[in-house]
Amino acid sequence: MQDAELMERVKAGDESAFKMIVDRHHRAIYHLCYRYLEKREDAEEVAQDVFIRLYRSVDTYQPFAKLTTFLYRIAVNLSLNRIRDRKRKRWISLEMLRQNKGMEFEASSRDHPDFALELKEKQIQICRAIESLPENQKTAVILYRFQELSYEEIAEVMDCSVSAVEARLHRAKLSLKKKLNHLVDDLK
Amino acid sequence: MNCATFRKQFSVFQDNRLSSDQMNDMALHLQSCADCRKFTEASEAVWELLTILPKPKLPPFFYTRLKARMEADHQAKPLSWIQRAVLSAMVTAVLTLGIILGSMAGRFSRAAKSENDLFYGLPLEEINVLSESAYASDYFEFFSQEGGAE
Repeated sequence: MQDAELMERVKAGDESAFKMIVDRHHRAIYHLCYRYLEKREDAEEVAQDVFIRLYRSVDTYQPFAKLTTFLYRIAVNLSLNRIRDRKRKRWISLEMLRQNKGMEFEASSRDHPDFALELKEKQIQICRAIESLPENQKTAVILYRFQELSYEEIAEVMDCSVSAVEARLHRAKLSLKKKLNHLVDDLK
Repeated sequence: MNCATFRKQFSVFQDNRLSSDQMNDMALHLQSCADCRKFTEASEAVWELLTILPKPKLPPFFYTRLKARMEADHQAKPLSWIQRAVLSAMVTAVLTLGIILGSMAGRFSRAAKSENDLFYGLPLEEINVLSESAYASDYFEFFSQEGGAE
């Protein structure tokens, strides 16, 4: 069943249709929020907020755009708002990351401790590099690299032209290359 | 094609978003230019490096928790502005009353303490035999002294 059809059913008061929408999209929305916030509790809370907003706006929802675009747009805005709140509260996610409280690392207990430490350090540097990008570039990178959206879909989510997306990704790639080049050199 | 043009378009080239002619031109330049080849390889390697970031595990029972939160939000309706105004007026009234009562209690205990001081050291028998006028004059004298000392 298409999302638009499910939304019509939600509008008519069908709870099971809302559950189907949540089940279909919560994974992508949670991952998107996590990529911004790097803390599972925050990502889950913001992902919940996204679906609560959707539910509350069901009466006014018009299927002009794909539901995923609508959801991604809310998720991006709410995640960026949360980051701004954190900055206001002088709460630095990187510190949480350093303390290994918020982030799950790929290295498991089976990995050599040196390798795990090295991997963790690289992940922190990558997060720091992404965090340091301007909001527009960061959103373009997250949507393209991690959510695997097309340029056209990103343009819809970010409400801008495709050429603006191209420019943002171009600048982000140059910036990331500059900041992370030493990690690539280490691999050689 | 020169290096500057190549580098302006490297991102869309990397993402296969150029026309086939443009892609061919870029590929030809890449074959002939070692600097641009190095630049592109480094950029691709960094882009690839981003994949080492872990994907978090999904929280269990997402929908159940979402519904629980929605219901809790629904029950905990925010107060209207009238309710908020009445509530703040009541809090202010209670605080004001507390301050007034506290101030009155302080004055009363100070007066009681002063009266105790007035007859302190006098045996009960002597107090009982004092005339009413003596009470009044002692009382007046005591407070005149206390006031003068201040």
